[in-house]
Amino acid sequence: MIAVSPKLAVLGVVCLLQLIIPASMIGKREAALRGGTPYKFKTAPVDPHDPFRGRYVALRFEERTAELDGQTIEQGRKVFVSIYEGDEGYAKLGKVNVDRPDEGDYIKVRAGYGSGGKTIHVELPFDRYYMNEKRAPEAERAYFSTNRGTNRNTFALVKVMDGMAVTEGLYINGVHVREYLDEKGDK
Amino acid sequence: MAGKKSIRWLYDELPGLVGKGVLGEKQADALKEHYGPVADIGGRKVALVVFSIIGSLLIGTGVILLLAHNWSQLSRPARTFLAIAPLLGAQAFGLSVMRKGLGVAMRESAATFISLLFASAVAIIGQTYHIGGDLGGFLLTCSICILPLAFVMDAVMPAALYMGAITGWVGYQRSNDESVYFFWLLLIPLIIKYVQMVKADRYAGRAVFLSWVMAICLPIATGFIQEYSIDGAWIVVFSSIFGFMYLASKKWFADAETVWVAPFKAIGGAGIMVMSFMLTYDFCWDEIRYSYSWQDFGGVDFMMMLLPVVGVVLLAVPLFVKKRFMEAVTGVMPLLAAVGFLLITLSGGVEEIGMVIFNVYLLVLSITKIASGLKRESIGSLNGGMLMLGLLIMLRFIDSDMEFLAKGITFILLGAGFLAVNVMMLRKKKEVAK
Repeated sequence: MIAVSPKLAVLGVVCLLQLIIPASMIGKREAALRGGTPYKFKTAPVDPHDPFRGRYVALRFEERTAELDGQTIEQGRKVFVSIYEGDEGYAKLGKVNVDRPDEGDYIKVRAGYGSGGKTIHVELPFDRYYMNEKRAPEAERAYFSTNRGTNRNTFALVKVMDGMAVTEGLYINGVHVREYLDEKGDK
Repeated sequence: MAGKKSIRWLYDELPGLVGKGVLGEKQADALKEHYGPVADIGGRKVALVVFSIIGSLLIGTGVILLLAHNWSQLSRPARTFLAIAPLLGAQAFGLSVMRKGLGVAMRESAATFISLLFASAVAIIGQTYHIGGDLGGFLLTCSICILPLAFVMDAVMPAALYMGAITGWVGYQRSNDESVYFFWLLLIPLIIKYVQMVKADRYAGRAVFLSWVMAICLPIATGFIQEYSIDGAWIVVFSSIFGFMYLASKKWFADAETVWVAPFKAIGGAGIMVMSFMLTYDFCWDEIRYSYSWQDFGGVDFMMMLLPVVGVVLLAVPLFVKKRFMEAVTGVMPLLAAVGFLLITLSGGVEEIGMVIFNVYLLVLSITKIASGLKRESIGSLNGGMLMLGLLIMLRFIDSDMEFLAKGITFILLGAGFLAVNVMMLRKKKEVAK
């Protein structure tokens, strides 16, 4: 039998703990992507980049304010906002609560500034769509050229399950951004 | 503790001393046994460690950049594998290095790989699942997960990366108006690691490297942390951190042979000088706009600002007792900054008080330095003092409304004074040598 020194054993435990973190990040999101309810969030993207994770399309959503449920919530606090599908098929934000709702879909968000004690600004956790460094600027240009006017159909498809929200795709004119850029490239 | 340089000098002298009969061979051997070998701490070993770390850093960051490219054509499972596989490889390498009991260079390499590839794994998962842009959370997760490597693998690189990451985290928190005080808690394990390394050998290459990283990061982090609720608090806060670094170096790194192995002294001393000259101008004191009453000084914000000054004074007092005036006067500068701050607030914003305090302080400090240089016949100390005095006079003359003729003559006189004192000192040294 191989003798294991205490230091080696501790290093083994550290390595395991280091693996648990990425594994849990993956697990929760895979579950949401496979079994979550899809919602379309209308967006307004720009194109910055992250030093570690590369280029992304920053997503800004039309739906950013939610109703307060008679509570006072300080800025920066983690809260839950219920979501539902609106008449046009896009996601709508319901009420904000400090406790997890008993029914319906909801997302864990950070509370922003309040407005008149009735509504509150919320920061949605899926504010980035990562893309290949060459394609992100193309996506940005495509977005801006199609995003003018009122007849827009550009949204992020987000799967939601037990408060976890994971972006599955970014759609321009109803077409997945990757396919949209491929089609545009072929023309 | 004698430095390696001194021991090398002694070993070089020993054959001559034995030859002349000043020492017997037995005594020479006893001296060698007492001080131990110095040859094995050679440059080659240090170079090996340095190049191993640089190599690992380059490869690790290269992997991060490769993954940042975003291989969106790959499926999610493939990208997840790409995230985890390099980390697993690095961990296997680390476990093998520890199992075989390999040396410092391999341990540092493996620890650097694991640290960087852990960060890249978290980053690529963030990229794959489009996780929001919480850079603070990313830095905090990475720093907490890599720090144990510094202890378990006895490696300095995870500790250095940790210090850099928590400094970045404080910056992120401050820019987002979020709490920053958790930093002090995050600093505790790093200080434990640092004390371990310093106790083993404070002048060993790896301990010196961590000293430099801490000496650079601490003032930056303090800059982010300092509370902005008091206008001009930075004057006292930065003075305290530089003063504390300088005095701590004098207490715990007193026998450093060069400034390269005493980074707290280098950065603390430089910080004190820069701050002192800045504080001779009104634009710094200008920020203290409001008049506070004595009751305000009992508040938490004021206590937090003034508490470090007490620590600085406690470190400076023994130096005064031991009559090490030059060091004591240099280190006590934060106390003057605090006094200036309090007097200006209580006087309703008379900025001249602070300017006068620091002009007098620099005058006293430069004269003390010159006197110390003359007493110890140290040309470096003498010139340092004269340079400070000269700079102070020049700055005040530039500020004044005097004519160019008068300014010109003053500058020439200062230059002549410099040359004359140096010539005198060199002659004196030659005479002593004869």
